[in-house]
Amino acid sequence: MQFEVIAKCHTTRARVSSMTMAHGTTYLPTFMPVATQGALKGLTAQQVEALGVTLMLNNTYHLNLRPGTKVLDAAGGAHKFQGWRKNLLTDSGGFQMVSLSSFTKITEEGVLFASPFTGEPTMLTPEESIGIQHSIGADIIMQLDDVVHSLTTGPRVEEAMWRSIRWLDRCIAKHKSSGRTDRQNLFAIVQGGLSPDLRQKCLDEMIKRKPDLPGYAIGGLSGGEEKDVFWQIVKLCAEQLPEDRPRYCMGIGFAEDLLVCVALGVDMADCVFPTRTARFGVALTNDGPLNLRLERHRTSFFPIDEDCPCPTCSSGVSRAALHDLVTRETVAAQAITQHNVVFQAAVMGGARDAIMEGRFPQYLKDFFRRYFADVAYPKWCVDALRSVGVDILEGIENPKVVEGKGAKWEYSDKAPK
Amino acid sequence: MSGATARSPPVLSFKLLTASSNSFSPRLGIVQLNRSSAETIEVLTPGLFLHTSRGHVPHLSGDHVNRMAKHMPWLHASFEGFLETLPPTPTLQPGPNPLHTFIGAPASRHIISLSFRDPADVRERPPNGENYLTGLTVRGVRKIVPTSYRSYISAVQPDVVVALSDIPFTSPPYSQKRVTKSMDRSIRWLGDLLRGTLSSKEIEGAPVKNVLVSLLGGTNHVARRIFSESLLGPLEEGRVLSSTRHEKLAPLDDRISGYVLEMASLRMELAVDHFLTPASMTHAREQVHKISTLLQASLSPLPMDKLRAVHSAMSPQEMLHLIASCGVDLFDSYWAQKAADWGIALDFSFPVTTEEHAEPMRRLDGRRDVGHNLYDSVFAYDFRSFLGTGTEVGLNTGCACIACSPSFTKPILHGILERNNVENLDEEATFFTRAYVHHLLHTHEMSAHALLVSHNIVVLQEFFAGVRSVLKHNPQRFAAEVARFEAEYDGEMRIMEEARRDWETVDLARGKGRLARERKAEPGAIGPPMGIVADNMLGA
Ligand SMILES: [Zn+2]
Ligand SMILES: [Zn+2]
Repeated sequence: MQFEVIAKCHTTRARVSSMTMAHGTTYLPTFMPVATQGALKGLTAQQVEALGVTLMLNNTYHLNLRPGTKVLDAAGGAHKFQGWRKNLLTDSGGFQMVSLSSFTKITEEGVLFASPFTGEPTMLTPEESIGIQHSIGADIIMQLDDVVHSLTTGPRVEEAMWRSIRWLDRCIAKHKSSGRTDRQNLFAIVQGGLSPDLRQKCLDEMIKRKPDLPGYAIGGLSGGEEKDVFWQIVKLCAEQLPEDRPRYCMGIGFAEDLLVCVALGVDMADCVFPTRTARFGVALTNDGPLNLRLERHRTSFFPIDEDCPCPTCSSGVSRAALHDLVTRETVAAQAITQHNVVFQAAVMGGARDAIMEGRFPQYLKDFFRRYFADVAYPKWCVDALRSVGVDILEGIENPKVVEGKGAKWEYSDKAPK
Repeated sequence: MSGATARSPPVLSFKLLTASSNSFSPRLGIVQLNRSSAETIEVLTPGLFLHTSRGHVPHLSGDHVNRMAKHMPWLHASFEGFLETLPPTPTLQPGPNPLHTFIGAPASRHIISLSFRDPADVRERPPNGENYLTGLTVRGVRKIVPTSYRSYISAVQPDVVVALSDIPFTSPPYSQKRVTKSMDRSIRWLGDLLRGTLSSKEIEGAPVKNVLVSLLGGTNHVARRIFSESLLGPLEEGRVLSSTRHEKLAPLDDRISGYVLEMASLRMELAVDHFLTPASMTHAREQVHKISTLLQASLSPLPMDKLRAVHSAMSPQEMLHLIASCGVDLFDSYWAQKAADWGIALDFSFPVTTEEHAEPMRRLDGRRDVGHNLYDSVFAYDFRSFLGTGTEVGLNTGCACIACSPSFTKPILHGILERNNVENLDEEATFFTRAYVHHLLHTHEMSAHALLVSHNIVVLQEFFAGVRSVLKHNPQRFAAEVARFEAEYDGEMRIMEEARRDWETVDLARGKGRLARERKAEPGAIGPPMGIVADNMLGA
């Protein structure tokens, strides 16, 4: 991997960089859509590329179940299999094993889980996870970590953190022995739960291994923890991770989360949210999400966003037409998915340009004002951005600020107050 | 928007390109829709029009429709589903070509025809009335009166309109009295539509143009002929059985652009008459033979030179039979789309080609399937294209669809850096393989159906191109080529039933459970759950 920081924000910790791997250059910060099983929700690889995506994610757990490594090996890897010629990232499979399997047990050797096909106990070791990811052939592969739910407390969190470090060493050893380090880039995952102390220890250990690690991820978050704790942990990690390595915050997808993380120094994020929510008729916009199933959109004969370059908006498909189709035809899911992927990419692309042009703080202010001003600013965003020198409430008269998650959502037909 | 008022309705014309003495012999023709002097959309016949759901070919996203526009110049939509909300949403669409705009199919590239009912939907519904038809929506049954149909048509402006017909969708068999009543009503409604003068004066505008009429009469040859004869009756009266010619009065038929045969309803009636189950294709040949004699009875009194369209033929053999024995011009794509829903990649050609890419799989009776059931595990390692061509990049797969000949388009650029660094635009894309779609089907990924439906439409278009080519260059060989096709391919379409079963199995195993899990995993973030139908369709 060639990683180069191109520009830095003069105020926040945000930066723009280029990351060049076997399948081209991806500019960071970026959002990665998730094509779980080798297809992004009804779209073809060419369609995803046309949306301006240069890095997407496949899930190792799912691809290992189907089609399986034998098919992937025969196909020449997941890129060829799904016709994707840009960069690809795979997770380790551990997270899905814990969240989707009816039975999991962590041992020092690996993750023991019930096979979804046979129910038989099956072991996934760090070495096997890397082996599967070699068959998939993604440009970025992730270490197997010992995942604990982010709300877990007590000694289990520390145990998981230390084990993740030991497993990282096993992943590094396996990866180096494969001779694929020139094509596939192994990322470590910083663990340690919500404890700054444990996070610090984990960071110290993992940074020691930097020569074998082209990048780092911040894991173990986005599990329903307090947003106040979330951003402080992200900040702690991003501050200490090496300047010359990309930083990937796992499981982040809401626009406000993305921009806060970028301001804290994060370069990459992924989430199923934008594509999943599209299937339920929710279109993401700079004014907040639109639930197109609501009656109020039935007679809106204009696009989701007149200025959006996505295939859906640029061809003039109206909100009314999408409302009419949304729970009936997969074409509506595809149309909204295309829009949402473009929206995420545009938010990040806009952030890159703003950072390069020295106007990122204003970009943040403008985004938050448009997105939240009609309801209320989430307090955690205000606090997080103040911690890196940007006051998004500056110049706003009597701003409304709300505690908690503060995520905006168009739930009902009621007009926003 | 001032152009909207100045526009005159588009003109649909149909020209026969082959002279023929026999009304039922196969023929070549051309449909043209002139929207203005600058815009003409053409469909060569025998040819294809596309069955749609609310105007959309299921699974085919807008950008794909764009790319495939020349393979799908004529879309057929049905209106009944839109009655779910009143006034129906498309009728509120502002601007010119409202239905085209609403659907997102540019009027410069697509002909849109509209019928009230979905011709493929034979679900039972409450009986029609003296002056209304019943339609099915997701929120239940709705009635429509002819005046509303007319006002909806003038609001959405389809290019071609199928007149309301009283085809019963209650349980067959139907009594002689019922058949007579149904024909009588339909002729009356047709007259109202064509005259443009109705008892209710609130509906303005010229008579509806470009009207197609369903040929009625059920499974009774005599009744079918009588119905057709009544189309020759005077426009001013428009009553069935009054077919004594009024010399000075123009017949209804003068204002009719063509005839429609709805095979789905006829098949249902035949199944009862002959103790066949509609699901079973075992007697496919016998059935299509019966249908062709019924269609001949309908066509015999009618002029030869009008367009003959058939809905819901269920195999290429049926299509060939109806071309050969009834001179049918246009077929909808319904069965090929169903095949795509059920995981089948079509692979057949007319005339039957001798060179094969690989030894074709044959059934015990020596016949080949018209496609590949990609659910089948034999495809797990099959890295060839749908048509069985090789595995190298850039190899001509022999099919122009988005699966066999994918292409890259210029990506949307999201920042200054990307603008300065656009990579490998000219590279050729690799075709999608059987193994990949096998995987997508088993993982319930809807991309599978997008790839398959695109492919199946192109294969079917190529089939018609082959039919036209033989009719043009070797018309005397046509019958022999049809026979050769029937000897080569399985006309019983056993693959359809097998694939449908596989589809159901995977659907049940994966469909609902997955979404339930997703909801549990992320409440709030994904909004309230959708209906069960949608769950199954949308997958995870
Ligand atoms: Zn858009
Ligand atoms: Zn194809």
